[in-house]
Parts: sequence; C-alpha cells; structure tokens
Amino acid sequence: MKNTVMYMLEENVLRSPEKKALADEFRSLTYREYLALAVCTAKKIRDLAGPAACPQKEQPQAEGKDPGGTALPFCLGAQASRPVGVLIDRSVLSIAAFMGIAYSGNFYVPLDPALPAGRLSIILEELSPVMLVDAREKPGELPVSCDVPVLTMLDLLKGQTCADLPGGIEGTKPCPAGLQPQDIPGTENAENAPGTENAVEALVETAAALRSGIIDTDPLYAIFTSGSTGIPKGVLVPHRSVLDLVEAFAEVFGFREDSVFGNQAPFDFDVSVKDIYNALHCGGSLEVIPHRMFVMPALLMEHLAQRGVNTIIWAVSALRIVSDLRALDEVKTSVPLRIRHVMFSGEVMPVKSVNYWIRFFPDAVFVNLYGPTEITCNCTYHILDREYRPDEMLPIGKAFPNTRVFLLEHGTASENTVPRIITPAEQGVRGEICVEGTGVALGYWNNPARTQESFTAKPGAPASLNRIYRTGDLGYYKDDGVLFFAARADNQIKHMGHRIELGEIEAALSAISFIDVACCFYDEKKEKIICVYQAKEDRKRAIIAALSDRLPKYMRPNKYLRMDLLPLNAHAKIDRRLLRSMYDEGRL
Amino acid sequence: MEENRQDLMEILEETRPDIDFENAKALIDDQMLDSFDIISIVSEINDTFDISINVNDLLPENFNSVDAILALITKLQEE
Repeated sequence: MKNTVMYMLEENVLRSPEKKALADEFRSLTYREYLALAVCTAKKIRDLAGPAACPQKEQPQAEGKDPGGTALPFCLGAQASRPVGVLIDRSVLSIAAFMGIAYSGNFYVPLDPALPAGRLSIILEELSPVMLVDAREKPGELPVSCDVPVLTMLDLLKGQTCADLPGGIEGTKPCPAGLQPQDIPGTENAENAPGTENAVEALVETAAALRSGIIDTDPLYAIFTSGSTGIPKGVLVPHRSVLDLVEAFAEVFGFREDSVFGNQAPFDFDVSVKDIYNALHCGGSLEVIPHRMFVMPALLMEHLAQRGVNTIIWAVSALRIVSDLRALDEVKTSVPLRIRHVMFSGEVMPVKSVNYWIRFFPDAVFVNLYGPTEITCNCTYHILDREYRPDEMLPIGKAFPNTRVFLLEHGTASENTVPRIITPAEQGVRGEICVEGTGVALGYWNNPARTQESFTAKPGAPASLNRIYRTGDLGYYKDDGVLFFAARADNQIKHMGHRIELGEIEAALSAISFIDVACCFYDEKKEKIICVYQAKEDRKRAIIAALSDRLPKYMRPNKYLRMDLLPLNAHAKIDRRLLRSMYDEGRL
Repeated sequence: MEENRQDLMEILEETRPDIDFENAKALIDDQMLDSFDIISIVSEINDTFDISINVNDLLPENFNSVDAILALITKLQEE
C-alpha cells in the first residue's frame, strides 16, 4: 500500500535507480544510493533502538536476492514509534538519516547543534530520544551532556552489508577519522556498485519488508517550535499528513521529473519538508544550497544555475535577502538560470520584494503559501495572477485540495457559547484561521495540555468528528472569498523568518537573577525585538551573556531598555500597551 | 579612517549587541552574522558612508572582520 513516504523512494529506485536524487555542495546520491543508505541505517537503528520487545521472527530468506543477509528479526505495531534526534547540517546525509529513521519505524527530530546549550538541553529533556544520529559532514561533540547513545552515520553503516553499497559485499570501509566522501556508498565510483536490475529489485524488496509494519498514522517527524511558556513544543507529524501535502502540491503546481528543488530552509524548519518530499513525489532532484550563499549572496545565482535549480520553495526571509541586497541586478550566470516556480512562506511577503523577483523571472509561477507547522507546512496558497502595488497585501488565497480552512469569530464568544463561523460573504470581518484535514498534525510531543488547547473539536460539532487546529492567526475575506492574513491573536511574532513567542524570551529574561521583570515587543518597522526590563542598574552585557545560553541568536532582543519600574495596568499586569506607545513616541 | 571605524562599530553593535566585534575575525566563516544582519548592516553602511555596496562585494572576505569591512568602505569611497 502507498501509505508511507518511503513508498515514493522505492518507486523512484525502481523507475530510475541511477538518477540524481540528492546533492549538496560536496556529494550527490542517486536514488539507489539514497535507498541503500536509508535501509542500512534503518537496520542498525532497529537493532539498537527497537522496536525491541518483539519475538524473534525469521524473515523468509529470498535465495540469491539478498546476498548481504539483510533479513533481520523485527516487528512493529505493538511497540510505539520513538523519537530519534538527528544532528543536522547542510549535507544530504541528514536526509538519508531521516529516511533511515523512518524505515526503522521510529520518527526523526532534526536538531541544530548550533543551538545554545541551554535550549538544546531543554529540547532533549522534553524529547527523551532513544538515540541521537550525528548526521553532520563533520561529526563532533555535543554542546550538552546527554545520556543516550550518539551515533554517526559511519557508526550506523560500519560493518553493514547491503547489496547496493559500493563494492557490493563489504559495505562501507571503516574510517576512524570520520566520514569521508569516499566512505559513503556509491559516491566514489558508481560503476563499481552492483546496480544491476536484480540487485536493485532486492534492495527495494528489503526496503518494502522493512516498512511493512508501519502505518500512515505513525509519526514521521517532530519539529520544535517556540513555546510561550519558555519550553519549545515538538510538533508531531504523521506520514499521511506529508503524503497529503505532496499530493495536493502535485495537483496544484504540477511538478515534474525534471523539477530540481533548490533547498534553502534548514532541515529543522518545516519549509524543508516540502523540498524533501515534493522532490521524492515527482521523482525530481533536490539540491541543498550551502548556508553561506544566503549570507553572502554574490555566488548564489551562479550556484543555482550550475546545479540546474528550477524550483524554489523558500522562506520569505531568503527571497528578501536577494531583493533587499539587489542580488539579481548585475548577475550574469555562466549557464542560463531557468526558474519555473518561486514559492514563499513563513511571514508576510512585501510586494516590492516579490516584484523585484518577478522582474527577473517574468515566466515563473509565483506562489504565496500560508500555514503553521501544526498543519504540515501549508494549508492555503495564492498564485500571483496580476501585478500587485507595493501598498497592497498579497492574499494567502484559498485552501489546498483536501483541506478545509475557515474563520472562527474571535474574542467575543464567552466560554459557554459556540464561536460563530465567519462566512466569505462577510468581507473584512476578522476571525481566527482554523484548519481541518489530513494535514492537521498529531499534536505536540509529550504535551497533552498544549495539544488540547490548539487541536480541538470543531466548535458546535460532536467531539468524535474531525479535530481542527486553531492557528492563533487572524484573517479576513475579500473579493470572492480570497483569504488575507491580518495579525496574530497573541504575542507570537515572525522575526527573520522565525516564529517566536515573545513569552519564551520573557521567560528566559525573568530567569536572570538581577532582572525583576521584563517585557518584550516587536518593532515591525525596524524589524527589531525590543526588551524593556526592570532592574537596579544597566546590565545589558550581562543580560546578553545570560541569554546566549538559553536562546538562539534570532530570539535575542536587538535593543535593551532599562526602567526603574515597569508600568502596570488595572489588572496589575505589565502595561504592554503603554510601554509600546511610550516606545513609539520615543519616550523610553 | 578612525571616524569611519567609530561609525562602523556603532552600526555593528546596534545590529548585534552580543558580538565582540573588536576581536572577531571570522564573522561570516564562523556564521556569527546571519543574512538579516548583513541586510541591515549593508543598508546602514550605504546610508552612513554614502556608498553603494554591490552584490559582487558580498563575499566572506569583505565581511569577516571590522578591518575587512573598513577596507571595503574605503575602497568604495575612493571609487
């Protein structure tokens, strides 16, 4: 049955085993190598991490088809899928690790090793993974102590035998110095590998057997996102949500086998989910673009051209880097750059930025995508069908196929009344954007309270019907039921493409001993996080030092303002509104 | 030159108060500055020094240290 993301990989291997599937700056993997890596790592992970408590069951040995003796006892189902953390970088090995974990029947959790130690500790504590896979090109020390095994890709592959690893029988060579390109299956000389039809079929058979007990409601990944109480939340997404996403994208945008996706988003960011699985669904290729090209974009366009990238699904912030720095102005690539799709999401896209892009790629399809991680990437889209003026807002558009998006009356209903659904005819009336459908995630990992708050029954409907996700975003309808984003209903902000709960920053600030109390708000115009704190003396340097252990740099305030006493409102809470207006009037 | 340095330090410290710019030598290579920092730094440098940093100047070697950025500013001012 085509019920897990892995079936897509197997179909590609059968159809075009030698086609380039994944590439980064240094390596490239064919579909066959991609699957071989995933299968080998999956078997080792299953050995080490389970699902463990199952009777030893003999796998039928397919004579001659399985020269590596890959049949391992396993069973799935009774044992719940468990989290495996993955230390990521910008290498294709991260993606191979994800797929390996999926095949093992567990779910992957991408973790950025550059996170501050304090935050990484909190996440690991929340997660309690069964193991960590260090999938980095250069595996290294973890910045925090952790009591679960940490295995590199080399550890997982060492001593493995798999028909499609290079050299066929021996698998990878042990390499104590760390993972070298020549130690990765198939990358050194593909003609050496036994990519014969029989071997490919055997590989796919092994793979299909591995995933046979996994069902589509099993989680595929968890991605951590900012939490207002100071503890990040892990959004848990099942296979079927991702399959639903790529099927909807395929229907609306028609990706093809010659689609080459230029991956910008880090793998702990759900924008990258679209690259990984859309590429797999259409049988295209994925190019992982080095991070530094987005910091210093002089070489970005040449890189895209050389790698044949024609499909861009990026964070708004990444497109803005190019437009703000006018990085297309004087670009002459050595080969023509042919971009077919430019899609963006994550925050409101300024019209002047998208117009800049359109000027250089007039034939490309530009799409504004909308949706939080909790509904699996995106729930609405709007294909730009005309030129927008710089003072206009881009619509977030309409729902993807097999997804229902509606607005719930916000703020007026008391606890006992059912909030009203706003109809598209009520143009301009704001309501909370709610999402219903297969894309709705399983919930927050290990956090039933937060899950119940946001993943709720549909108001007015029996609880046994579909759950919906309440985004906390406010939207409204305009002409013909097209949706627009208006604002947040709470203190969540989007800053540099990151979703941030101001409450999480405030929680980190109030943990600092010499701060009595602190309040943060966002200066949208200057794109700066402002921190106002109450303390006896100015301790900006010390605050910065303390925060750097708790918060990633994009969450740290850009401006620190000290007050002797923060103003309180009638409810004896910090008067945010007053502070904000004082700031806006330059009185802080 | 000294004046340039002071103005530049102000821009840098305002953008990223958590970085010790005086001693940093690999602002780009060590991923200390991210893309949004670069956008805001470049736009403020352009305004303050009345120059226009071109996309082809956006290379790590021009932004790895305060001295490198100063050299770029001086070069563009002389052009």
